[in-house]
Amino acid sequence: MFKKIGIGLIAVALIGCNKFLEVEPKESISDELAITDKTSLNTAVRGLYRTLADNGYYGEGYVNLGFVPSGEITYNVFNNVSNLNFRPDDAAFVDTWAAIYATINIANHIIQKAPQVQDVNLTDIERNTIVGEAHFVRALAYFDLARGWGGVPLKLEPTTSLVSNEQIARSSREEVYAFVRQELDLAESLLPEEVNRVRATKYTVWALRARLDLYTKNWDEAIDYATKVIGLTDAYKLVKPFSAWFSNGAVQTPESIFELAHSAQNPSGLRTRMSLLSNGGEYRYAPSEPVVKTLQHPATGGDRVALLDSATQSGVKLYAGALYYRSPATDPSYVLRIAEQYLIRAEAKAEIDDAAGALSDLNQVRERAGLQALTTQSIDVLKDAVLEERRLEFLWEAQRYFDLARTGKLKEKIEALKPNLTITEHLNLFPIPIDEVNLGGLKQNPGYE
Amino acid sequence: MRTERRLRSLYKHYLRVAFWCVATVCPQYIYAQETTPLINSRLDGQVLDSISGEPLAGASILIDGITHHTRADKDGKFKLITGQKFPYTILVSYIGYKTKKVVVDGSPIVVQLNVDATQLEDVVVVGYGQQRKSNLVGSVVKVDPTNVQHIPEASFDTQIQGNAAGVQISGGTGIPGSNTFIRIRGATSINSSNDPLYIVDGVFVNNTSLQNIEADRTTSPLADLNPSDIATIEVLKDATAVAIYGSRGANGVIIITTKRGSFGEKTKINIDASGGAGWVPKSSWWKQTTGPEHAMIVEEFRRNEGLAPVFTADGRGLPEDQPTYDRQSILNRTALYQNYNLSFQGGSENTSYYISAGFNGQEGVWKTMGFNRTSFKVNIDQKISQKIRISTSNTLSRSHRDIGRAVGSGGTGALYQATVDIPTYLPIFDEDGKPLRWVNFDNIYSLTTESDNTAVSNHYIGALYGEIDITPDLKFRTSFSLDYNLYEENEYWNTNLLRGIANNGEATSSFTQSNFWISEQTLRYAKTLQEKHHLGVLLGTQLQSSILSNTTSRGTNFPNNSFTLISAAANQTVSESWGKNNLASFFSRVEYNYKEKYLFEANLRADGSSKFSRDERWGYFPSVGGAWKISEERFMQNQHALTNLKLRVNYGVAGNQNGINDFAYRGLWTAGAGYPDEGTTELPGTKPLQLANPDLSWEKTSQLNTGLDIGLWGGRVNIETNYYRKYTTDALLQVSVPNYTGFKTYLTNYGEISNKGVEFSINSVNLHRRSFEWSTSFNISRNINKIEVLPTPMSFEDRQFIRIEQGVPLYSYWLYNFLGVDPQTGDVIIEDVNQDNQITVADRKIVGNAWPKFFGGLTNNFRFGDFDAHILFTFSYGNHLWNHNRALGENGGSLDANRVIFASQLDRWQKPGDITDVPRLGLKNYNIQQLSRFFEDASFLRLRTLTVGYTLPKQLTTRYHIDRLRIYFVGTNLWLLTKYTGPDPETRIERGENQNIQGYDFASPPTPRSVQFGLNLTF
Repeated sequence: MFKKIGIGLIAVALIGCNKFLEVEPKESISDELAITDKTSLNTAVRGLYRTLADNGYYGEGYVNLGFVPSGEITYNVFNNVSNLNFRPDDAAFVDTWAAIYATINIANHIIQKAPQVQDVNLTDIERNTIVGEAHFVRALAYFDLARGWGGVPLKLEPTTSLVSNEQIARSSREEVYAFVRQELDLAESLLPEEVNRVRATKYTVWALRARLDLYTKNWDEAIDYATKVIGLTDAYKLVKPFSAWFSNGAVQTPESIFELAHSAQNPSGLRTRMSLLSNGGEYRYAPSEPVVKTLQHPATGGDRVALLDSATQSGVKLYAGALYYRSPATDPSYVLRIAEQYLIRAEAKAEIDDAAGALSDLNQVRERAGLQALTTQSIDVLKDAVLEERRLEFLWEAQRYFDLARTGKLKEKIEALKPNLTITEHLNLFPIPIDEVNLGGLKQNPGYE
Repeated sequence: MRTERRLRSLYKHYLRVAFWCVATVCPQYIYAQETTPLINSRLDGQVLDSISGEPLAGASILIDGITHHTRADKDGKFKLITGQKFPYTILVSYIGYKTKKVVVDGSPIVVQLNVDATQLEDVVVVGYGQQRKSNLVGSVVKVDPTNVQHIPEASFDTQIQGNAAGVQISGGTGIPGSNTFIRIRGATSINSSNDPLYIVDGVFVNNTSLQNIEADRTTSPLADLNPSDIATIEVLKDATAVAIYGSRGANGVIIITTKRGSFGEKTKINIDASGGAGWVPKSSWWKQTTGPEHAMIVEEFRRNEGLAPVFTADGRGLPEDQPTYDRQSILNRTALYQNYNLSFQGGSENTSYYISAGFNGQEGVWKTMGFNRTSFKVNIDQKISQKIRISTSNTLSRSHRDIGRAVGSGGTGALYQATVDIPTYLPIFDEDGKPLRWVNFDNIYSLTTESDNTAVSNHYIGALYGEIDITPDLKFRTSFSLDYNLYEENEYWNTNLLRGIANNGEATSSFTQSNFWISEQTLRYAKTLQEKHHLGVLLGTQLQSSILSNTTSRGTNFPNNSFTLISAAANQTVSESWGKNNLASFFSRVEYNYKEKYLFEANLRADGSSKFSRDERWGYFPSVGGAWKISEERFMQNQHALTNLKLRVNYGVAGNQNGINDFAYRGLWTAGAGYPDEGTTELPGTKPLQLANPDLSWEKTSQLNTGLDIGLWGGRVNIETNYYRKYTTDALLQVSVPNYTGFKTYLTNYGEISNKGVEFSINSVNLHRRSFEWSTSFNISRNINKIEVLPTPMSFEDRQFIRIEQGVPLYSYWLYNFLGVDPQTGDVIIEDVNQDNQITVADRKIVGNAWPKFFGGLTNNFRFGDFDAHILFTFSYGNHLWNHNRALGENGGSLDANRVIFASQLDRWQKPGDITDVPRLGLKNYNIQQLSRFFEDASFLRLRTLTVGYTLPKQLTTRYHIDRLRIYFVGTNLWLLTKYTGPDPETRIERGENQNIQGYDFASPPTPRSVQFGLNLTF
């Protein structure tokens, strides 16, 4: 009988209690409310850039994968990536992969929801710009995946629940690059022609397009797009001296086509790891001796010696990177710089045997770095010179490993710097993170199974 | 006498109930006695303990056959003035003693009572009531905290380690006031909480750390309770015992009852003062290579790798010329302890009270760490009328912590890394005495002298209860209780410390408020029919609401080191967080027993939680149980040795939703992802936070318990055994999802976990003589944990040491299996699990786990005349620890001047024929850290505490109006037996953010060895 009363009580109370049991969050909002009008669409786009600049991606993780496995870096702590001991269970790969796909997910949300937003204040131009930016970021993310891991799964729908979660197989690298090209075409058609160094515009699209064409060996198109960007002389130019684009707290200089902004609230992770103790960093890694010597020698380093910081501790001279140095770490993450456009065009011209054109572009970059102009007419020497120029120009950016991998010079260059390492073919691709293989059903890259 | 004190405290509750009975049911007879004109006899008597001769204050004297009744006063004396003529028979009874029937034929008399060691009349606190232990259907362990309250741990739950079967407690970390690792009958959950529910005087108390800055330095809110205010601790373990707590009970329940006064009790003033010191013996410090040894290892590595030497005469100097510096001496210190308590306990006819004040100070054995607590306690019971009573319990405390960070990412501010991780040949100071920093760590001298890092908890736990007797059988009780904690953290890093240098001075200030209230109504009915059918029914409702909010401000870029407030900083940021959850519950219990021989109990609780969606929020948690006192059967009556035999069986389901996010089922976007539209001014931005799961619901744990209680020789020996099987379904699980979804995990009900185990405990009164008493308690438990169903394996920690997968226990280690070192080449041999002739990640496997095969404690209590002694050993067998310090310290010299090399590295392979576990120095032998050789056996036997006390003879003390004066010595961790190579086999990393990381020894200060002296005075 008492149980019956109990159950009766429960029945009555269930109704009354439901109100007590409805608690709404204050810090976060529900999925459905995330993108509904112009304001919320704008906040989502900013969230997209912030995620792109996340410490897993351009804030640190991906940039590290670009410059650490290059033979130029010596770690002061245990680190496998600097020794090109790539492992599918290494957090360096796992976290970066996840951060890139988190960026893609927001882009997918915006691309899907922006066309449905009903808001009289939202003009077509604004809407197109937002969608164009999302396509650009998605293009950049897939480009970054493809150059690191090869073919990856093309996830093009936002994830809202796991009901829709079927496994997606890896596309080939060519397919991913083709998709990136298609995304950039879309973005180009949607974005305005204007200068904004922290957000994507039509110019930003051109610059990335030039890089994509370089990676896919479409030399003529690479030259076309790089020329378009270089031609915007009011917007972009090689700032002098070399350090002018980063030293003394400079941000968004004419050097930058696209850089990601960091702030005290959203600091860059690069600086903490890179800086010397005396600059409040953790000093986890140092430039290796060969690159230090190259930079210090006026004939080879020129003004790029500014990329080095040093301190003397008990009679021992320590070297560190100097590109990310600010406190709080507001150092921007550099994604596209005008110097790269010159070097892209130089490389593409060399590939189509236009030695004079290549030399001219290369020498502009060298001159800005305070180096003697080269005079060679040999295409092979020129190609090597461009690669060497990129090595020093982008010492602390997400370039060197990918340059070595795409030109097939990984083994040659790294073994020359670190003779105790053996570089094998499979190291031209990163390992697919272990969980993606186990849970996502992805095929592992060769050599990592 | 010590036993008497123990019993007295054990039975305090029963005593109170007894007094209520006396006061509410019997007063008419007492008045009748005073007004009776007919006096036929006057009896003066005294009731004493038969062995110690101590007076038994409050003993009950009843004239047989009639209800004439009185009680003994504080000297054990009583008077009976009655119409009865001599001779007549009296029944003299006292809790914990055997009732004696005495035929009185003349005055005065002395009645001596014998201790009843059976414990069968023990009253234990269970959910929403009390039961006699003999009538329990469930499994409840009662722990007397008196003997362990001087162990230098801030929190009472750490102190009771080894005292309760089936309760696994890790002996702390050497960081005073840090949180406790506790598992009652194993772990049932992966992503929701595995901690038991703590209830203090009916108040559900939050036990999770409120630390917000570097939240991995978890602190225990339970440390805010003064252990000396605690009367008893009950641990509820099986389904019948915990089912009344429904969704809160899956991990067991710990009920804490604080001390209360008694009605009509003379005020007792108790003063307790103790002080002492703790330290880590030098033999337990980390063993580093000396300067020359370090240089030698580095050079050998470089030779083997074909690299040029670095310790050269014209460079850093030759290896043999290297100096050695000792940083551990700077970090370690002798920690001072002090503990003062003052309490008043007593009562008048209608009011009883317990009021106390306490101060406890504990320094850490590592500099900068420390804990002190000031606490007040007020418990009052008031009879409003014969039918209405109100009570209140209040604890107010302020706990101050000096926070030291043992380990940190990147080493900034981390004590261990600044001490142990730096090669010993590198100097601590330069020639001018200026502190030097090395590698990427702070200077230990600067860190221990300049860090400014505190947390203060202002904590109130209180409740107000009212109870009305609607009829003598039906009672209504209502209560409102509150657990409010304001946790304030402040830290400042000046520019002599790395954190301060990084940001030109950095300060953080954080205020966390935990506000938790419960409103509860119960209706209780108890009736005995025909003196054999005993029926009890309980109905209740409960509303709970918990709000956790935080405001954190941070400042960087300070004018200079004299400015430490955030208002002085050039850059200031503020963040805020807020979470709330509500729980509504209905519960009921039916108890029935026939002649206290066949016992039956059923519980049902319904819980609704705001953490789940409307359709999934209600959970129903039933249990049924029965017990059979076989010894009460007629066929057992001729047994003399076997005085108690009881079989218990019960089954039930409890739930769990603790520890998951307040808004776990919703798909959420978070703000705080600001970015400029152009230029540098950040505007607000949003990004996805978590995936929606509208189907999210309760995790459920069913439990079957079979137990047998055996009492031998009139209760001299009591044995309790239990076998249990817990099975968790719909486990709340952060399932890893393919990261290409944009998410790493997703919270869902998936997975099943089982815990099976046996518990055995024995309490024995070995000797009970007038001048010598000796009793022993021993308990041992075994729990087998297993993940029965899990969709895919999941790994934890950066290096993914810990992995959960189907078919293995939680806290399993996923490592490369080290087979040895090739005596010919000196190369490491790793098991090639998939036999593909290369060592890849596919060759990692589960090599073991952190669970002990069995664990327990052994307590011996002695009393010899006026001396008493208490000795507690704790033990654990078969548990393993990942020795991360060693894994980092044996780096083969590859990190040169950037890391310490442990002395164990010297055992490396050097030439063919060397038999060793330490491989030849070289990159390829040291590029895998996840090697099973660092996963060590951490079995141990520890002398946890040794107490010796001496009570001054009463003749001496009464002269100064002192009832009792005892002086005592307490030593802890005086002896340890273990094969573990680290300093402490019970240590663990503070990783509050992930409970699945256990058995991981990284940079924690070991539990200190300590000695304390104290004085206890009662007036």
